[in-house]
Amino acid sequence: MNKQTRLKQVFKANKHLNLIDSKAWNIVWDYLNLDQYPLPPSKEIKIAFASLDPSSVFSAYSSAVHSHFLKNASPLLTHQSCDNDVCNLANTVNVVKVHYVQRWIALNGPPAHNQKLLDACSALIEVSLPSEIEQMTTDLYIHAIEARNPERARTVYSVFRECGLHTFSDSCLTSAVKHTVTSHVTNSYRKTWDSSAYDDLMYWIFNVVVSSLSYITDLKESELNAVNDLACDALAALRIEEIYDIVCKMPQSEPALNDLSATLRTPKLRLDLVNTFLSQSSISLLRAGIPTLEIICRYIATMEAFRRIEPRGVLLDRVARPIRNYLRERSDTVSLIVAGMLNREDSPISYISESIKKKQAYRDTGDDYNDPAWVPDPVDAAPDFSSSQMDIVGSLLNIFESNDVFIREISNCLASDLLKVREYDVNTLESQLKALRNRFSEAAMQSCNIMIWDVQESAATDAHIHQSSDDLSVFHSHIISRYFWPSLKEEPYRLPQFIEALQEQYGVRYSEYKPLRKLKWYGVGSVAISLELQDRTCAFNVTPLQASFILLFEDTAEGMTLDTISQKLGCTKRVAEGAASFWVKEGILTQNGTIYTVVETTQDDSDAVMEEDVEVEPKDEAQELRDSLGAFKPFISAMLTNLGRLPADRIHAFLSSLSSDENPYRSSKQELIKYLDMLVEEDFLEFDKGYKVRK
Amino acid sequence: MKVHIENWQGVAAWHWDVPDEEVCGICRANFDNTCPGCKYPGDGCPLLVGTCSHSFHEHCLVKWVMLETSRGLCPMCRQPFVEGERTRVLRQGRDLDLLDSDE
Ligand SMILES: [Zn+2]
Ligand SMILES: [Zn+2]
Ligand SMILES: [Zn+2]
Repeated sequence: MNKQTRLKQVFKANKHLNLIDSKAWNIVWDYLNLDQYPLPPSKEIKIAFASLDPSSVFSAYSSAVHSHFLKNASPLLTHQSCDNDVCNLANTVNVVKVHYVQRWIALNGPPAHNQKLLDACSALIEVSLPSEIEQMTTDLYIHAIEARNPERARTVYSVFRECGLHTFSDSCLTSAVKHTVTSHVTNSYRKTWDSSAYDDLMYWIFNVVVSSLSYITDLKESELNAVNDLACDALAALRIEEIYDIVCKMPQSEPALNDLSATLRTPKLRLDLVNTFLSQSSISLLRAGIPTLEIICRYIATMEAFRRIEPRGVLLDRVARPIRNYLRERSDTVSLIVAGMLNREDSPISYISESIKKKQAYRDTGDDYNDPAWVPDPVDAAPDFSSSQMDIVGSLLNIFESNDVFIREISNCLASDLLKVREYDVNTLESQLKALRNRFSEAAMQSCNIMIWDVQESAATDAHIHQSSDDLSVFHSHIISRYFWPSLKEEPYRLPQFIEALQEQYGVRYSEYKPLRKLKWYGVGSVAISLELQDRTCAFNVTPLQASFILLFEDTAEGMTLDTISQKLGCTKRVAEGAASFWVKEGILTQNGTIYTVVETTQDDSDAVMEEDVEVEPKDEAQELRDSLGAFKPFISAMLTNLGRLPADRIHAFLSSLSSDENPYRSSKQELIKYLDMLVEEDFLEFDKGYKVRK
Repeated sequence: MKVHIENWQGVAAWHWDVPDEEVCGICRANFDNTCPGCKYPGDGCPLLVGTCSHSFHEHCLVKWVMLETSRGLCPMCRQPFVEGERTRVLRQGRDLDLLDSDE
């Protein structure tokens, strides 16, 4: 609606001017002449007015006001707005109002007319104000709130009010508060997570915003609450936007999580939080290039963070699901978690072994309706939400539907550790296992118990066997109950003859001690060995294969080819090569073509190595990847063009199958992923749940 | 180079000296595994070979013999069950009276 139509609606054309000739009319009309400055009416004027029909006079006056306003006041107001001073403008508005209203009110006509005139004036003023005045007023209020200098704002606010512009003025004030609060929240609290923004914000709201506002206007309680809600929502919005980074910065960012728990007032905000986290984590975390361990750490952080935001765990349940599903697909998830639970030194999450010691139910069995403390699940809970209070370990176990995968991995780890222990000392492993009993049922742990028991029994048996025969010298054995151990992987090879003889003798003694039972030997175990070379003596703990390998080089300075070695060991060349590379890495053997020789003295060799080191320029990783994988770029490109989107696993498998002698593919999957990510950065590929050629 | 072996720790699995495919005629589990009632194999759940050459977990056979309907017969060949010499040595001291009485 344009201004002219609105004006016409306010003042309908007057058709009652039939008294225009009368004397009383002339007196009153002179008094109401809008070209004059308003003065109080004389007695004569009042009498004249009383003799007239007030409605007719009002109609005529309204009409006069209308046309006078458009001709004089409108341009004035428009002009005034141009000098950017709301105070001056407010004064002008006030003068205008007085000019049109005061002389009429002084006539003491019917109050209904007074109100009508006031409303009409306000409407005229409001439509005459140019649009930018709203922003200017808002700015004035913003300044007033922030600078704690509300004098001018108070004047402007009250003038606008008196002139009937409440709606306009209040809406300016509301947007001023909104703007002030929002920018305060963003400017003061963005990325500052180490102290409570919520407390600080509440203090600021009360001491700055509310105190300024109550100076400008009388705050009602509902308005006070509205300001508080506004502040909470603004803080919640900021923290929601930052949620993924906050979770990554746990535990330093805990105060920011407390901000969230204090401000998540509505289901809408809770939903926003969940959705934002889901989309941020799917972009930043659940990608082929991110190592599993990092995802596990983030999963743990997510657990702790969301439990802090909302202890019942409804939100947690929703944000953790996709991470769990993703981790389930990674082949190394179980072994990494088990390494943490078993407190492996090299595991960055070994701290979770602490929380294992706390007793927990094996697995939640659903809602217990007989529990007097039972309350229904919140409305936004997923249908299979379980409100059990799961700790970190519980949540990690919860990644998989059953504990079997963990038990299997624990057995594997335990088996390989047990076979390495010295002197049959199982105390450390036994106490680790004891802690796990808090989490897994006795039945599930049964094979682990038997494995420990086997080694303890082996100690007694071994002592007995050595007692009855002193020619077994350094030979000892673990004797295992094969049905309760994971199958021991081994490649066939031949032990040194004297060891074979010792084994046989050991087996005979065993059968004497345990009638009707026999031993079957495996090629695994551990050997403590020391090598006496010309200029040094080195001690090692090695596998029986590695020991057998190095025994071939005893008392000989001759080199040996891999063929000879694998023949003597009765094993494949690949197995022999594995053992050889261990001794080369340890500096005991040196490889020249296919011939291995013992490094009796280290002196001159080390010089050569040092020179070599100087010559080799350190390559950066990207260049190395380009060197090793650049040749495969055309294959990758062709593959992805033909097959569309592919995960790194598939590409890796494909390239491995392409590998040939002239074009060998030797990269690990990790290296391939790094290289693919490089191609993504170069905009050659794009990544979204798989790699794809960018068009 | 001289190689000194300080300690050689081998690994072996024990097994009962019976054909590998042979299982307990009562519980059908391998003898190197336990009977259904036991947790620990080997010494914990020994083997019993009858003169009829049928073998059982000792625990399985005792349970069977306790049944009235078994009438002390081998569940496989229905001949009176008598423990053979081979496993008698296993029990040195801890006798199973109900089996010895047949001898
Ligand atoms: Zn049985
Ligand atoms: Zn048994
Ligand atoms: Zn029989």
